[in-house]
Amino acid sequence: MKALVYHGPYDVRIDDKPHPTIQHPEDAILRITTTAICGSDLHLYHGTVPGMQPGQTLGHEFMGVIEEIGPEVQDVQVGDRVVIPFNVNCGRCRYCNNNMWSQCDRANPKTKDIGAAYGYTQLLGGYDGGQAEYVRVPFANAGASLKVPDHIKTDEQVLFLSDILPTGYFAADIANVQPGDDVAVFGAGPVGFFAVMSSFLRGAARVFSIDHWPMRLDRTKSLGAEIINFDEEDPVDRLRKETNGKGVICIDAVGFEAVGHFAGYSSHIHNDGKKSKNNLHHDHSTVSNPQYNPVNPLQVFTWMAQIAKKKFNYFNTWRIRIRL
Amino acid sequence: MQKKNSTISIPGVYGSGYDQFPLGLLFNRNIQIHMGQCPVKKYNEQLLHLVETGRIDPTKVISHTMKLNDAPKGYEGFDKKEEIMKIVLKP
Repeated sequence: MKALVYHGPYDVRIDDKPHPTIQHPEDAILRITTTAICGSDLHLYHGTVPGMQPGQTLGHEFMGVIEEIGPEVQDVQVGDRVVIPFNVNCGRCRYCNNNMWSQCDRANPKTKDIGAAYGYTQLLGGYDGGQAEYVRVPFANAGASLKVPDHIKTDEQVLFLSDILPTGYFAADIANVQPGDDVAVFGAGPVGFFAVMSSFLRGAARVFSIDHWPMRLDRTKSLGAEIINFDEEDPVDRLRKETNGKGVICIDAVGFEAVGHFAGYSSHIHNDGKKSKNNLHHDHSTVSNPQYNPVNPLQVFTWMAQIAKKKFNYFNTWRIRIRL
Repeated sequence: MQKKNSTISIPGVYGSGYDQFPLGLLFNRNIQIHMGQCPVKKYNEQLLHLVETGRIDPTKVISHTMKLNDAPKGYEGFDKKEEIMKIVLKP
């Protein structure tokens, strides 16, 4: 079968790999119908995430049709059309039972220190990902439980339930966005887009979207966000002015927003705060004020520290994702 | 060692930046930080209901659709960012 395989930094290829097989009674094999490239896949692509070894299939946003199930899979049938969460989780450890699906104690065969994910380094379990024709879904009773209703005609409507839509919602949730809040979402990429959408869903009065790619800001604007292009103005000054100094709830949807980003963090910043050589591919030379170096996550973080609302509000650097 | 999914408490005073990290700003203003990987299954069923009822349309994030075979080109282009928001791949 065809799969997108990591060979090294800036070197990913379509390889012919063996069709995955049932290795455990709770496994299922999924025929993938639609998948996607995530911003966090770029960190792997850059080679900045420790634990990434050549040969692993990438991809953690995927959906498809169940083709085969192991003898202990009861909750999923062959032929089911499902969306798979990027987290691998057993469904019955203490963490899974308490809605902490990203920290499953069983899914990561390498360590209990962190949970597991598809296609995201040996550190997160070494599982092959879903940018492929087929993938093995471990713990399928839990992992393949999200069935797509028949009236959903196109995969694209539900594909992002695998990661970036819940991740954007998670950002607004852990930031505790409440009705009437003003929110600033730093970064207007796909996760920032869904963080804007989710903040409005939770009742935010105003949502500011900060970035410097006009095409991305246009998309968050279409959701109702008030956009701030940091090439043109200082986001902290603008947010202070817009909120009469009250501040905003801040969501960081810029940085290390995916699984493994914590690991890349130190390699991105030198002690003097300058860009590391690893990061030259992010050329932000168009930023007018050199003091604002958005490639440095500390700049974004410092903006947030300056403008975050006092007391009882949080700001989130989730995936900081470490996410995926 | 800090337990997974728990909160670090720092009542000790940080008055200024610490090795460039703005702990002082955060401490002085009682700001908390929550972070981590999203636990997808906590949210995906209810978000699916928002999609199927038409309340939200996640497809608006898509800028490009390509064949899986073209994924290496997709990575290269996505890395440059300007025109690409989200790439969907079809095996």
